[in-house]
Amino acid sequence: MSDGAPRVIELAGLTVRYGKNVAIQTLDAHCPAGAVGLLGPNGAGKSSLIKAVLGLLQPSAGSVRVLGHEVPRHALEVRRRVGYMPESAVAFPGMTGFENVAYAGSIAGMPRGEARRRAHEVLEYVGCGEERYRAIEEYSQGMRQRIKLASALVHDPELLLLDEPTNGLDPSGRSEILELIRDLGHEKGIHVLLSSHVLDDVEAVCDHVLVLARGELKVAGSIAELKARYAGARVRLTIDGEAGGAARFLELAQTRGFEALLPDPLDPRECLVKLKDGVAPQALLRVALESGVRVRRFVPRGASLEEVFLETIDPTASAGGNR
Amino acid sequence: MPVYDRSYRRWDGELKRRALRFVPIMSMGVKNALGMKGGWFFTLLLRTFMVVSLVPTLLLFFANYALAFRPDFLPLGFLGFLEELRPYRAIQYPLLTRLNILFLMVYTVLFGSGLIAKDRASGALPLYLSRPLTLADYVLGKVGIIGWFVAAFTLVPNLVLWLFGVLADDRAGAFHEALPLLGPIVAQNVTAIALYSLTILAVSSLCRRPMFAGLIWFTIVVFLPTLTAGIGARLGSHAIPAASPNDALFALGYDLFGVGELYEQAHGPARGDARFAIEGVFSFVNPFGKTPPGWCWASMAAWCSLSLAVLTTTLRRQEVVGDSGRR
Repeated sequence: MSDGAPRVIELAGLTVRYGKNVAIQTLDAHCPAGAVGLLGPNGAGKSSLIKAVLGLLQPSAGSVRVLGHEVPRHALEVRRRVGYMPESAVAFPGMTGFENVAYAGSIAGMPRGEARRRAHEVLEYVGCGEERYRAIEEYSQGMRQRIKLASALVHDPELLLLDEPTNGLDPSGRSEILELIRDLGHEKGIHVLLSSHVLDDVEAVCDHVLVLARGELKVAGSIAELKARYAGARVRLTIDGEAGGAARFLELAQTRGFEALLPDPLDPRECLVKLKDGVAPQALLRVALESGVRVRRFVPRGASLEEVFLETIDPTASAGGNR
Repeated sequence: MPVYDRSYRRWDGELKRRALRFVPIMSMGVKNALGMKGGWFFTLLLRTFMVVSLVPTLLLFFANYALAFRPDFLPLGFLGFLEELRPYRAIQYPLLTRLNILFLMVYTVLFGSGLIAKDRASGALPLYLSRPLTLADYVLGKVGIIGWFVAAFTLVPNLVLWLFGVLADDRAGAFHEALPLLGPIVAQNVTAIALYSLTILAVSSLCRRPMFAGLIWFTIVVFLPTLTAGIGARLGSHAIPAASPNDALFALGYDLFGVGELYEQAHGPARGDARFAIEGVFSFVNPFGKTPPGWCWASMAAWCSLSLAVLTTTLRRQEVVGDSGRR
């Protein structure tokens, strides 16, 4: 991430502990303006980070600054300016969808009439029609997600914290929610921190990512930069002929310093090779020639966000796990 | 993909001052409780109960009204009884509280047991705490909901009855004579509001199911008095019944309104049926007249502090633990 960009969230040496368990370990990072993805496997510390940003957790060490305010010291000021969409299917019980959103506005400090008017506006925006007058307990998962998003938006926050917003949604519901989040982050001037372990969601919405694993920052930066950095162009090859040919090719490739493996145990002719820096893919054709095998298919490819993620979380998995 | 109105507009209004943040929680809670969602049978039952629960208040108002303006409305024997009680009319305030508390216990369980339990079960607590609210705002809002009901059945009828009594009395010094009663009325009923609100919220915060919270609370206010009274009688101690919150509350009223002295004054000159009726009224107001008031105040303070401590500890743990309520 470029250091010149305005910083929405700044974390300096942030450590969060639950008793003896360390959820976040000495985290130094910042989120620039716009849409930022927070990636990490389960237990990486994403939800703890969001709670620390909201001031719901007292850091054991380090500091958090959100929109220029120190947290948890100025947590209430931060919460005035932040909208939070929690991970689980939560809602205020015993109310309709509309009442939920209006109530969320009221407890944020909006005058009652304004909260009701604004609730209608944001419910329109997130695509809730007449169903807004049904009891929240009768809603589908997709509708609940929309209500949660509307509740987070009702007081017009400057920063939206979205914790797994597409959880439990069908493909069309998921793409609609992502479209809304993308619109908010790119067209409506609201900063977004999207926590997810669904990489496609983050790639569809965000420009930047923070990748966490076991409470530590693994990598941070713009998605385009990271893809370029981790592209480390891979080549997928299918070796023609007998099964031993691919093994011969891989052995020679490894002696020449390439990272190479057989990614598919059911098809021993498939090879995946990661190119060294500055080496053209054609170099592999020379290796094939020297090992006496014929290449049937040769597919050079760049890295996806998933590959970047796997590379940073577990480099051994990335080589084989992703096709 | 459906086409929605994408006209998201920024909101440039002012958020309210922080001091008033508990008000929306309270007003929405009261509105929901009065909405009585839960099927026609439940609604009918609750509305009938609400009407019935107004009977003691209406009866006392009627007695005051008839005594002041229309004695012909009352049967002669009953009028004589009320006339005998007239100098000791202060008894009507703790009597009203005592009668209404029977109904209040049901309301407290119905409306109070789910106040935090439902938020816990539905995971709504992080939604509250992600807003510019403190735990104190949240607790104050919830106390406000149950406090509203308790006040509606204790403090408000007592105050209105007091005001009515003053207005209906055309003697010159009636107001000054009635003024000292305001203190005991406020003290006993505010104590009832604090006690009932805090204890039900504390047990509600401990459970995820309102039914369990209700059962625990009923055990404290209904079964504990039986236990403490039994132990007190066995040990010959007047202090032990004060451990039960309800008995301590009634004994407080007994002390604050000087019911013991009133009884001596009223019981002495009364004869025949009137004497029997007076005895009935006074013993209903407080069967534990000899409980030391200091113990009662200490018991009230202990119950309220314990409830507040449980409430704060549980909610703080919820605040840190997160969405699922478990870690």
